[in-house]
Amino acid sequence: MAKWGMVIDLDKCTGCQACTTACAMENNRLPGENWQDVLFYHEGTYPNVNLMWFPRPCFHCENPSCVSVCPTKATYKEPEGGFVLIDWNKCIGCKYCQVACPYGVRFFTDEKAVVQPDIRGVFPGTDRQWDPPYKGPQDDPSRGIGIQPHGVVSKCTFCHHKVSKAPKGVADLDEDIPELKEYVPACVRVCAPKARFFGDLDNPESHVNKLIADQRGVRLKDETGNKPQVYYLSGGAAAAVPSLRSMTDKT
Amino acid sequence: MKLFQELINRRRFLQATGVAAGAGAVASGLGVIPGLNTLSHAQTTTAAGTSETVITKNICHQCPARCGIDVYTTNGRVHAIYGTSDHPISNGKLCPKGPLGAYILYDPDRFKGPMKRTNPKKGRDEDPQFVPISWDEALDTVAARLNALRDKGESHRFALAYGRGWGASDAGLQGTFGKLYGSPNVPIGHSSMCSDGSVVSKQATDGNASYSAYDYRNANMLLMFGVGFLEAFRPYNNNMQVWGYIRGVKVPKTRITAVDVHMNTTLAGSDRALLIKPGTDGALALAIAHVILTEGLWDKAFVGDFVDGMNRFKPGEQVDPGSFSEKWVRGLVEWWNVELKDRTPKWAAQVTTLYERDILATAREFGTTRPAIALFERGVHAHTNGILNGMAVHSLNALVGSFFAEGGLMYQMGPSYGPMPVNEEDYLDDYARNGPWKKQPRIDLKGHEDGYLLARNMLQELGPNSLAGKPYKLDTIMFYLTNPIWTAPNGKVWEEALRELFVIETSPFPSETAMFADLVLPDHTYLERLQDAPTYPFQGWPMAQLRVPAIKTLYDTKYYGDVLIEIGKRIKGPMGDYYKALNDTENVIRHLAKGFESDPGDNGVNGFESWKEKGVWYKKPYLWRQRDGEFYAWDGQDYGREMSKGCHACGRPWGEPARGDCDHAAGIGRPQYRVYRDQPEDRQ
Repeated sequence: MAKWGMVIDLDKCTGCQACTTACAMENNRLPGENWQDVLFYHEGTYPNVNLMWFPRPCFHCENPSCVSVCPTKATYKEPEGGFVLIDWNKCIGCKYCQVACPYGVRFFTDEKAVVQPDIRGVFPGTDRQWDPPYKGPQDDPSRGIGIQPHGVVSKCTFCHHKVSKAPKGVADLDEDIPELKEYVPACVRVCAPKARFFGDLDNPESHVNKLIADQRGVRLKDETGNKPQVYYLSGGAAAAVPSLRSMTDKT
Repeated sequence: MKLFQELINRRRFLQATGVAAGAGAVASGLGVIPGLNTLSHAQTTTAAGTSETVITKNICHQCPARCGIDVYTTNGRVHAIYGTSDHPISNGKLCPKGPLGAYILYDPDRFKGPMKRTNPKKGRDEDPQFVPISWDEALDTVAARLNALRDKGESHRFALAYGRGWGASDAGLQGTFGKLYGSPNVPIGHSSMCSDGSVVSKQATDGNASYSAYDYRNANMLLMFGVGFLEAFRPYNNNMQVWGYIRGVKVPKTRITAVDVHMNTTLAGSDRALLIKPGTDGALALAIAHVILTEGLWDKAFVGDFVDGMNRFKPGEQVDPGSFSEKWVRGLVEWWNVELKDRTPKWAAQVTTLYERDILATAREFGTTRPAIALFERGVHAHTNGILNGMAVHSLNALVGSFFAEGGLMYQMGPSYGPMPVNEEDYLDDYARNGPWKKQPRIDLKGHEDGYLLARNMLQELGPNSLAGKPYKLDTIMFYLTNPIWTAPNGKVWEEALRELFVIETSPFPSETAMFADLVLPDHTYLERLQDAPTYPFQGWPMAQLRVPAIKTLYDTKYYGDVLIEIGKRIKGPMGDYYKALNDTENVIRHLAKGFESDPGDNGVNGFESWKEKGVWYKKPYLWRQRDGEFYAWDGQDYGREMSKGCHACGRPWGEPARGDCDHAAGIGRPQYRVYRDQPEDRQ
């Protein structure tokens, strides 16, 4: 059985957000319901500024706190592949999982839309939240795949509808291998600087394991014990050089 | 209300679990399949690549980069867009805009078909009261106006203003239209508000009136001036692919210094970020040139050297031009004497507000790292001193010998298109050849002593000039992919100007300009078009992409190229005959593709059908290379054939006008690059 994991090289990531929009396209997310996002931070004031960014999907933790707290067992860890998924038939929208997740990767969209105007008014749904003409053919409410009904929490599925179809035993899902590209998660497949890698963490031969070992991959907030299946690589980044104006302005 | 909602949710949960416990496998009303699970599995099998999903080739329209895209359509609905794997720009990847193309296709605000205005009053708060009309009525209305203007000898009062041009089957048709009809104002591009500064800078420096093609992957240093390499610079998607390679894989890691006026991801990701005072990039470039010369860091094989090898470039001191022997540059010592000798890092620090130490470090790094590229865009040239800024930056490439070098920059070659179905020269009537329009200046006063002599287009002046009647008033104006009420610097004047003109808009979408339109002739969106597009300058070797419709058009729209042809057919005289012979844009594209029959692409594309299937024709490698100051041509295996001092085809020296029909580049079997965007004379 595979245990799928992702490696994100922060030194290669350009912060472009193609992962975010490819996810929105592939999974029909609402504007602002960014299952995958790149979070931007800055320090200082112009012209002495440091700009940083952090790409963040769901981490599909080995020991997910969202699963432990779910009162209805709607959120669960799928043994085959190690996906953390939500069964929308069981979710009651209590949002306990949202609070319990240390990484803020879960969404409840029944309240005011993040991005106005609310596009659901343009493409209204009946038993689902909306019905855009460009929605994908995949639909599996028992895994939180497709467009959600009202009153449930949603989250990244690691593109379960693609990854679960991958040939058995494959060590890595590399979008540059033509026969594998359709099984690669959208955020990985689209990544122009190739900052993302996706493979089997239980396969010692996988490229993702080599990257984690050779480049000292780290997991976010390891102290929580959640053990994310997403690892980050980083050698550090550069800072802006101050200009004379800042000196002049202060005198 | 909230509680009620939760109760419902809970009841649904209870029902679901109850059903699961009772029946084991039941689907929610959509059918049952045997096995462990319900309908979910059956549906997810359609996710990718099943017989129901069709993939068509297209080119993204959301920026000029021209990324090849695979458009996924299932049951007549477009639901996914990914980069085309075997497309040299996209390589299976996309930028953040690319995946969301279906939002454009299914935008509920699209114009649904041709319309005419019924409210004669125009203004911000006036409802145009558009009513749907037939395409015949729309096209007849335009043709009647154009024929009437021509009959009166006032054809120059028809202007066609456009923004992004794609290829021979859209913007490429416009120049012919103006020539056959007889208007100096068909077409006028938006390049003055876009990147003309870049083109003119390069024309004035190395003579190539175009953007440059770059070999970033093999460069060891990139010095970027106001380009937004990781935000916008075309081809953005490929730039990021390059970035991942040169910063994360390549050994040695490519050094990057980025100069800009605001903090951005490019600066944040660079080794050195220089936040410069806006518009002073040229001063920084001059200081870098000054250091390269005074410290003897220039590429002597390409530039040349002092005859006795002793460096006489001393700050503030004149140099005798006779003491320097130039190889591929011209006027270096003269430039030093009138300008560079005083352009010290200390001087530049005062102008640019950068630290002298950073200017010096940048200059030394750029001067000692080979190959190195200095690139610039709008941050540099979109100023009143922009052309001079650009010339200063571009000159750095000569000083370090990057022209045509591996890891340097070069000129873009054009695709091997076949000829148009018919030759417009055979369809010129007396009016087109010698009508009164020939004596009229362009409405934007391009090249006129009262206008801007160096400008290639001045689209933003059309409205104001027409309103003022200087040089004359227009009668009818048509827009393609440009919205000057919004984008021109003087939008309110444009509103006044468009009040008194007959306005034809061709965008699929409402806009400020469309609200002043008398006729709306909506184009297809890009996912519905058959449309060609040669590459923008990329890596030098030629490439041409094709858009193939993913679905039948959603609404009663018409491809802009066909709108032009249909209007043309309705013009009296031989012009109408020309467009009847052209027939439609598909016929044009089929003729272009004939050129591939005798020059198949690297991916096997050798005609119209294979072009549609693959979406791109390209032919590597680039045919020329400069190495240690000598030029070599590709001999089939390597850059092994030393180039002669002149063109193989016509025998004239490079840099001098070609003889006869030769354009020099054709002497090596390739046409030159054409900018379809802003050169109305180019139609191939």
